[in-house]
Amino acid sequence: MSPQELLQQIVNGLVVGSVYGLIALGYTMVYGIVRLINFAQGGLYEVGAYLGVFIFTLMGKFSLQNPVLAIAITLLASMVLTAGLAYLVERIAYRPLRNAPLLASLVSSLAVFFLLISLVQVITGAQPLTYPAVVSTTPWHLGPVVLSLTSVVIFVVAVLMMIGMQVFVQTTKAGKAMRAIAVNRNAASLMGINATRIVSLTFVLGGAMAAAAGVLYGLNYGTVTYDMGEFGGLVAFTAAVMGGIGNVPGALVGGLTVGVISSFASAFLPNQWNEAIVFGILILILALRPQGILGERVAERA
Amino acid sequence: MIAQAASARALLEKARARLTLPPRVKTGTRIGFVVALLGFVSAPYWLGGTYYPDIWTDMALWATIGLGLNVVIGFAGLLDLGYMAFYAIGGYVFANAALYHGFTLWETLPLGAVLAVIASVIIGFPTLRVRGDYLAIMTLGFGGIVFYAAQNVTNLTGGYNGLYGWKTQTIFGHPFASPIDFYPVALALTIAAALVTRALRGSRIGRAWACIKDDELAAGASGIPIIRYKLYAYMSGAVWAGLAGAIFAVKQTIVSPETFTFDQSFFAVAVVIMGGMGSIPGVILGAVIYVVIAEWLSTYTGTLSGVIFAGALLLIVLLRPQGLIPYRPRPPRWLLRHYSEEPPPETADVPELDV
Repeated sequence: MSPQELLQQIVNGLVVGSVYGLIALGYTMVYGIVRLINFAQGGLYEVGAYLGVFIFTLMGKFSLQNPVLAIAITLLASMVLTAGLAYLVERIAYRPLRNAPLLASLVSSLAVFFLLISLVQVITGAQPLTYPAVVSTTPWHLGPVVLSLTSVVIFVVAVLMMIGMQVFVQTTKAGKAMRAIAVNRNAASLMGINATRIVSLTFVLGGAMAAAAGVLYGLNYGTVTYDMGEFGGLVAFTAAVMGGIGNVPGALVGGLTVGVISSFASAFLPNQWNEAIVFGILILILALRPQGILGERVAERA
Repeated sequence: MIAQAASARALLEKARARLTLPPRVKTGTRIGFVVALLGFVSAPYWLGGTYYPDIWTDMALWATIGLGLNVVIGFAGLLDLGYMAFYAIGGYVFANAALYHGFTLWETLPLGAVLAVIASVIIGFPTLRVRGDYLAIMTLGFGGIVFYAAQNVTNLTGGYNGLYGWKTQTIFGHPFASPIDFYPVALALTIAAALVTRALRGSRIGRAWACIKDDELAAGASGIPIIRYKLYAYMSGAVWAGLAGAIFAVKQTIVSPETFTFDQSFFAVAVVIMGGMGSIPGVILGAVIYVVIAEWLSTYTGTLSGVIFAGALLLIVLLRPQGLIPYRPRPPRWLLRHYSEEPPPETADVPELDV
């Protein structure tokens, strides 16, 4: 592989990885605060991507031409709708099981995941949908690397959102409450923090990030399929674990790393091995360094 | 203090309720139940055709899968999201042995079971050391790797097209031609799985699993070698998937990757959770419900059956988390008889605690 191809793979990997990082953010925040692997996250990501198609089409009907506005509105609308869905999921499928054994909430989040994916399948008839080419996909030749405006937009939007989330968690009052609950939920409640509301907020934010990732993914690849949530959710979970689950900057680091690794894997190996590689990484990390790259205390839920 | 005394009394009542013999079921009800059960089990014979025997065979195979996974989830409390990997191993071992070496189903069954067990040990070693929810993800990863290996290691698995074209298998000289020929075999496997796992549950190993499931720390402190016993749970669960996988291969006349997807592993978990973790009749009921929704209902509703099934699972987890037929452990009958002969002391014997 020439250094030129190497650079190209890194760039491709960073773009895809930033999308994975956004989904991973939802996993990592929910896990950090309630110690639940929220499998529904993969489903929300898919729902967000499909909502994006519908909203884009809707805007086409109103002949909205400005691409910046179109993307901004689609992102925002899809995020708000998916966040509402995430709230419902938390309310119906997670909150009643708060004091139940871990297994119950894991199975319930798996059931929600399948419910969302099958709903998408029923509604769209399992047909892949095409994203409109809102932003130019004309390749740019930046020295040796080929880029497009779309990929730059995706990367920038994703990274900005992740930075925004980190700022939110670190500086706002709600963010501080989240961190407090992650450390000790009971103590936080005793300090007057409304834990129920903060947990809801965490699910909602996670859902919004997943929706944003779904729309960006659609812009990047041009099509969305009803089974994208399965693999996307899993890769993102790998990213979250890799960065250190419960750790917000870790989601970005993990997402970019997994993106670059899988981009290299698809360059070196036949394409079908890509998924197997991601699974392999996941198992290796969990077996050897379950606290991830950036590390986060991993304590068994009491 | 009074509240504590009351809750202590409630606990005692609960314990005592477990120590009484289960209420006598009327002979009429009992006969009715047995007749209904026999009627259901023999349905493929009197319904005839090829469609119903096929559905009933699938029920028996799924029940076997559920019973195997029940050892892992229901007895030992380990969430395994990649269980169908063992099913795949059973299928591919048979297909390879039959296609390239001329083995028969009966010769390969033990081989498939042994290889599934070996695979479970290989998977178990790295995974069983990690905590509950990470275990789920790791098993999911292994299931995924087996799935992608099935697609890509084409010289062993035939890739996407799968393996097929082995010569017709026979049972006592009678060829497996129509679905009704498989049904007794699958049913026998289900019954074997039910009896063996039931015996396991009551054995020393089974009691150790129950301890680990309830409180791993306490189990370890009482001298149960946790990792080894978890490995036993994996191994004794994998056997059934390995066996069912081979029979499924013969029935389908093809082994191909799409029967071992993550969805399938999830459905196996759903069968166990819906029916009732640890409960043998429960898991069998779960398998029946799954096949009814996924195969029979889906011919009318298409993809909507996925929504129905996931929705049903969600409802059960939320409203009846112990499953449709919960497993209620009871002391052995001789002990119960002993207790029911001596009337239990009055509740008033619980000393009142004053503030």
